[in-house]
Amino acid sequence: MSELDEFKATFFDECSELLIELEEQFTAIEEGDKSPDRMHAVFRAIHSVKGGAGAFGFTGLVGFAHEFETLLDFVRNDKIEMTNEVIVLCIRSNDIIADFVEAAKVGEELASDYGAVEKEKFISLCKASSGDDEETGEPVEDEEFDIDFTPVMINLDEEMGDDEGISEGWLVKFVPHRELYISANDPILLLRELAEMSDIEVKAVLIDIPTLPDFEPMGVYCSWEISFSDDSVEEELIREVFEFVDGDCDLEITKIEAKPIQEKQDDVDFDSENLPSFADLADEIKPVEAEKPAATVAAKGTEQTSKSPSKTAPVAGVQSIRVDLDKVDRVVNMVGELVITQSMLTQQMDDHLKHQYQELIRGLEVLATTTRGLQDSVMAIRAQPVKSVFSRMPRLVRELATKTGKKIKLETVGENTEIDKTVIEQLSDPLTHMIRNSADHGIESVENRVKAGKSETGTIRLSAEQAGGSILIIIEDDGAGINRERVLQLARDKGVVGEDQQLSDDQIDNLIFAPGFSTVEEVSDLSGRGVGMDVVLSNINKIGGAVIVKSWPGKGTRMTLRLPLTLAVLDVMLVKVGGCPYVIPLSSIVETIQNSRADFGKLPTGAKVLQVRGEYVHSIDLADRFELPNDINDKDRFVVLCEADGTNKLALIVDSIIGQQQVVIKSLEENFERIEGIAGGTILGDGSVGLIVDVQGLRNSPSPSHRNVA
Amino acid sequence: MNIYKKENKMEAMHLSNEAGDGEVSEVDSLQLIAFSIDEQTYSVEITTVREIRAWNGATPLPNTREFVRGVINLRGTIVPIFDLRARFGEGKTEPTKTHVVVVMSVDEKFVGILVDAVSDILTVKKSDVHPVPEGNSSSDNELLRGIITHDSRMVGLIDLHAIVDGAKLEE
Repeated sequence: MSELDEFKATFFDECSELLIELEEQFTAIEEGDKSPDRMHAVFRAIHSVKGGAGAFGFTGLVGFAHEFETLLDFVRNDKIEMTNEVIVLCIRSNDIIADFVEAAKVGEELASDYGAVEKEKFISLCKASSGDDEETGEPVEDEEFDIDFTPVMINLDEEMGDDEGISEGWLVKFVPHRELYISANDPILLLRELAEMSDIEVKAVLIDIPTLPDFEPMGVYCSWEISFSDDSVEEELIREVFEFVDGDCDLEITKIEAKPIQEKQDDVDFDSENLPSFADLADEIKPVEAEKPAATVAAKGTEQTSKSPSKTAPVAGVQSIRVDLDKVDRVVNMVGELVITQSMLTQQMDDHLKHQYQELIRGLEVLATTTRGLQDSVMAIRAQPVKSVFSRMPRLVRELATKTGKKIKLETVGENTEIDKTVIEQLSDPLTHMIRNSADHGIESVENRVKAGKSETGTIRLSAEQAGGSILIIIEDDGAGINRERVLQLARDKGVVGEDQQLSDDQIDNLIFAPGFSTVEEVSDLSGRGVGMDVVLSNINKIGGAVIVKSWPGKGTRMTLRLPLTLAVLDVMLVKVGGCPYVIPLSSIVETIQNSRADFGKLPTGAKVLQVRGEYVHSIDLADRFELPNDINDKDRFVVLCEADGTNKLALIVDSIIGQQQVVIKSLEENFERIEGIAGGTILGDGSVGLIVDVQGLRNSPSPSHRNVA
Repeated sequence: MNIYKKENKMEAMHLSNEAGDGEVSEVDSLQLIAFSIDEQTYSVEITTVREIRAWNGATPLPNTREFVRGVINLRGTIVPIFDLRARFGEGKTEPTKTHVVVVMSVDEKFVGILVDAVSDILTVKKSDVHPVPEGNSSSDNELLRGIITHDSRMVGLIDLHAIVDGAKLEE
């Protein structure tokens, strides 16, 4: 990868983050939060995208972003009102920006007139508000190639440095001109920057504001007086803040003199005390300044470079670094191995050794705690808020609404819930399918909704929450619910369900996950070529999750995804079947029963059914299922009652239960292929391979002799 | 390529030092690891061999062909082991501690084959690899890439892809 490619990759990383932020901001704005902060955030994000795009020569993107930015600038300066029309335009434009970024990423060119309609709208909106005599507001040109909009400080006021005096503080009169606003600057940002330097008092001078009849919309009437109570701030630093608006405002900086001027030496000392971030430089500056003031320019140069870090110091708490995911994964894997080695060591301490080496045991216990802690911390590094997936959904819903002609609103809750990145990656496709399904099949058309006495706009609610060791992701709609009659009929037609088989409502609802199943009569391009929901199920199963559907006819459908917090380490129960070690994920185990106490019944096909507290549960003898020798007395065996997918239980009969432990999941497919009924492998404490039982898979694909549909 | 070969040879060094180094030029020669199943000798290209280890048991895999002996842990990676005798339809091997597993990389996948013993490292000219004679069974042609004569005995050159592909169950 060349250096430029690396920069590009960073740019695209940043873009995807910015786009997520934009989506978030627009969602809030759409919901009526039109606070200036949001507009500023949007403006900044678009500006950053534009800057980066400029550096890499993505002209289409730059052109569009530029016009969009101009519009946003007008909006944030209240020159254009944030009407619904403007919001819709902005959101649409945001999607276009995303398209441009995506195209740039894969190296495609979009049609040259892509987004032209919106561009026209921006220009006309801006023209309308700025009047004929104004040029369309141009953000400052030379910022265009700044990647992240951190202006490089260049000192233009060197002559100011020499006459700095000591005072009780400063009074700054700041009178912005109209040009200042036109070039996309904002006084509040300048004032904030000043506030970062020292305690300030800001007074707005409102006296010039004319009465309403004389008020010119584009006029500038407000100015500010800022007083610094702290005299340690140098005049020059204050001037620097206004550097970018030089010429676009009147600036008057006067000393508030309460005390006679002190020695220069004091000044420097004071500096180093009050600006700790300059502490390193203070030593350097002191001798120079004390001996020959003329040399200050050089010293100041150094000071300037240190300025940016000192400004960002207050937000140091949220600093982040970009780390290649591979590196994190390597650490995660290694910690996984460490956890296993640790549990292996513990296992090998027999009673005899325990008595002999008590210190060693204590050491091992500490090691166990530390490894657990290390593991948690490492997993936290890889955890990400589900926001990164959720944020793609509003756009999807908008597009679906447009295509179907339905009115659909998306609500998201709990987008800050954190899940392991590997889980998040697997989540995007299933979520997309499920939302499509909700929009396409769940939500009714406007007429039908009105007929049913519902509001015109259908709502899809997407929420995420943590529940114990799993994450629940719930997709709920207030649509028509699952049409059970049609689902059942279709399932019978397609042979998924036998003609005379009776199914409960829940079972019928779950039929939508059966392979090759689609209830919409005409194939739409949104969802439904018969693939989709079964893909959801298999994707979710693959990562050890489960899907539960619940539907209320006429009221809506709720689909719940239960996902593991992490894929790296699994809590399991170690069992033996036919002399071979198998592990069953602890998350799916409900209880274990001694075989001798279990109450079994036989079905005509020979399949066994377990009765647990009045409930009949399909049971599978793992030795039979896996064709392993079974020479253990039936009475001595155990039943592991598992929850396959929330509503359906499954009883697995095993030879013996060894215990609980943590394992790292290893892929069988890496060197071999997928095996039915096995979710993967793992390395056990003694170095041998244990196989992870795929509970859901066993339930969904029972051996042909006892086929059962669910 | 050179270093590559040497590394592999190092791993196999304890088995035999009689590799014919330098006898035949690199380009038109093949280096093979020879191993035996009963009386018959077979071989694979040395460049594909990653490791040779003693048989130490494997975890059986359910629902697979009978020649899939199971999986072993190779430094944290799960590697399937194929019983070559069973693959050739001569019944399941009853492995002892003297049986060995030859771990190879085939199409970026690691697989191991269970054989009776590794016997030699051979260096042969490519032109000395004879085609398998057309005969009654097509599976001979599928499983072997060719036949080599060594010390006036027949050595089959195994087609690894056929071994791996054959492990897949019919869909």
